[in-house]
Amino acid sequence: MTLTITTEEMDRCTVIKPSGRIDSSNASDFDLVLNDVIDGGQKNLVLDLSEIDYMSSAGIRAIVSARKMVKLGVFDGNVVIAAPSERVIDVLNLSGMGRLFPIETTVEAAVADFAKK
Amino acid sequence: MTDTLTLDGCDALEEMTALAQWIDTVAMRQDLTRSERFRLEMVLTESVTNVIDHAFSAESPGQITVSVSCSDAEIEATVIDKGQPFNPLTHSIPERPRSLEEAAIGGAGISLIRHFVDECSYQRNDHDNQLTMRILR
Repeated sequence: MTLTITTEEMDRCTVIKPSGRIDSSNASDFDLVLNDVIDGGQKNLVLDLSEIDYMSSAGIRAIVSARKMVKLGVFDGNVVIAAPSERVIDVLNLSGMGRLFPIETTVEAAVADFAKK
Repeated sequence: MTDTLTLDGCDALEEMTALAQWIDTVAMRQDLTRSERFRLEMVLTESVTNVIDHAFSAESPGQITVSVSCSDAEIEATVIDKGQPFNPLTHSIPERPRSLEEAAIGGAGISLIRHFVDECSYQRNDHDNQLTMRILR
């Protein structure tokens, strides 16, 4: 399934931008990228979902797992979701996870969330 | 008119790619709206994923047959597999977590299926699991 993922280092966070579809066939790739960034020491993540046109529960699983890694325990990081489509917001809300995540309408606003800290 | 797709269940990447392409074709042929197509894709993606994950093991995958038929009143999607008995409808829907600590990693698929279908039923027929999902139009 077509999924490309780019990462961009910012001053206080890393922007991770998957493009295409996320489902059970490729969610492990998304998971690996998230884990690599977190293992590399970055605990502040912006997930730019502006180019995700479909996300199944497998994608939700990867995002929840990442947020647990950066938010719980000794870390005080966060995962901010940026620019999701209405469909992706629906899937997040219906799975009960929507309210657990800060969601911004633009990547700039999401990056700015970390600058405020 | 009924469209049918047979998957061999061996490779999740290949299966999900084939399923997504097939749903595209079905949506065009059956003239589904964007909303209907999204609901159909969501319930088939989640239910086929459940079959691959729970009805079969990685060591012994098996055939999965997906069919969709449409009438003016409804879209009926059926997923049949020859895996071990697995009734997703008996799995409780996880409660909505109030905090990150409570949030389970996984388990959201059945919640999504139940939300996007109007009716859903499971049958065990001899050696087959059969999940039938109806979306009213």
